[in-house]
Amino acid sequence: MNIQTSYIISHLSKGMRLDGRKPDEHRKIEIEIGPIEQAEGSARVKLGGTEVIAGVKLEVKEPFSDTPNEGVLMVNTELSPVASPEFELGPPRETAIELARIVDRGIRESHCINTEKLCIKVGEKVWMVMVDIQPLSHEGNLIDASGIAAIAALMTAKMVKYDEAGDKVIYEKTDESVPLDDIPVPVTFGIIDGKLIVDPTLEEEESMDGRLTITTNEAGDVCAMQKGGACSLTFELIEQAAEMSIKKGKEIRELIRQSL
Amino acid sequence: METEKIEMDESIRKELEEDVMEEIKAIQEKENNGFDESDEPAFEKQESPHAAPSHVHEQMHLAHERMEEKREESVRRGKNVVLPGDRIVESMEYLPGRNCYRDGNSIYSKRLGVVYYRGHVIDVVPLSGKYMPEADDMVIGKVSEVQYSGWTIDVNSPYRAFLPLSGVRGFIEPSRTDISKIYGVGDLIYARISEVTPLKDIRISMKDPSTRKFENGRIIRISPVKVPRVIGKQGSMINLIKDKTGCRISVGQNGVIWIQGEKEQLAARAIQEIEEKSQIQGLTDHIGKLLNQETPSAGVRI
Repeated sequence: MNIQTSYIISHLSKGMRLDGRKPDEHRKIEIEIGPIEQAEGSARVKLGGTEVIAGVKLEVKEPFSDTPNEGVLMVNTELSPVASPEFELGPPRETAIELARIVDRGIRESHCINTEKLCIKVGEKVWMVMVDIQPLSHEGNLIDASGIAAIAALMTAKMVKYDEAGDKVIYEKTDESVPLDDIPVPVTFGIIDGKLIVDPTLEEEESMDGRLTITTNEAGDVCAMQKGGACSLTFELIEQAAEMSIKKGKEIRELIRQSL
Repeated sequence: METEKIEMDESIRKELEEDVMEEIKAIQEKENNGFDESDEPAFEKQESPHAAPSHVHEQMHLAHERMEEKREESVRRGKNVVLPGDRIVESMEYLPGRNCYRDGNSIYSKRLGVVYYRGHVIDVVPLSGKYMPEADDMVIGKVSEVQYSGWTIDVNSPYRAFLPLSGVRGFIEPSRTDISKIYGVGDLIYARISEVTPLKDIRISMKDPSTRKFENGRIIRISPVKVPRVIGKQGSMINLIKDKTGCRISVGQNGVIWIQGEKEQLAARAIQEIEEKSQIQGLTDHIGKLLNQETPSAGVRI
């Protein structure tokens, strides 16, 4: 075993982490609202040394045929080399796709966006909400930073005007917000030696056996879950993680509200 | 304008005087402590540690002379911080050293950094950047691949290093040995860079007695350009940390540092403090105070 991994494990058995945090402690979270002016809504989130920027754009498109009266949500991430030397240009790879899917599922499955309100004309025109996430600095736990940035950007997003006669969008912000009913917050756990650590850093990510992301909503329900890595999980561990994510989610939700 | 210049000269003079005092202190301390056991490569090559008492005075005298020389040069030099492509001097008197080049009559900088004069050689010490390997540097590398005839080592640089079988102590017959038992993927080694070709093919060697594989302890990473500050003048800073914490510390020129001991948390905190505050005056005192606190005041940034 790598000496760094064994060091982390021996430290963790004493309830300590390399950077002095407790196992259930996040790094400092900073949320900046509206850094991108051209976007309908945007947010920049710092999670310790990890930094992510997210923007929301609106477009008018034809709905999917199975949901003719619902708007469409799309989440996209791009891992550019500016964030980490590990990332390369080109088509998105597994990590980028997984990151986007975890954030997407959290927002989608919490049903926080009232998609029916995004319908303009049934079967013909609906609003399409596109959330673009761009990590700026990767020092571990991009998932939580991206999830927080995405929901904060959505919360500040304003609807734009749609000119039905000319069939075009006029990009002028109105006072109306994107219809949101909930604030889903993802909390990611690293699993090292059968123990959970909240908000793993890059160094811990390199050493951990696996990871578990749990997204919770305002009511304290689990709405999405994603496991990564090659380790196995016990029921007790998942229960423990779920409980902790509800508690942590509440704190982060409060933080997002305060920064608006 | 005139007063400003004098003020600048004064501040440079003060700075240099402090530098020299530190140097003298280090020499005296070394004299008191006897042989210095540090096996770390200091940025400035160390003079013989077995200096005789009469040597000390001579060295002190030399240090004073050096100070005068430096002062004169800092007056001569117009600019301290340079950008890539900045002209440092227009003269054939000087030679381009590290991170600068000659074009016609002038010497230009290759990096963003601070200009230093070493006699007639001009060096630019970069303010940031990745580690660029140089022959004879001691580095801490991670085995990233085991091959038939050696190992590929990640030395925290844009270029990967190769450790051939011939670079290991003893004779190894590759057809009969599982060489991953010697160094496996993920192992950390303290190695010497034996060769760097102009195309940046890096060869490293484990033949030197100070080289070894790390079995325990922890690793921290700092910016490679701050390594000289962590080591200090003739190892003064690193020895201070070693003395106060009782840790074993190995510093790789590539910015990777290995620490092992009971108070490794404190040592790691001190090293990161040096990295963050490398520009402040009286850094050694500051670190000394930090180390006198029994417990680290805050966690270590990773």
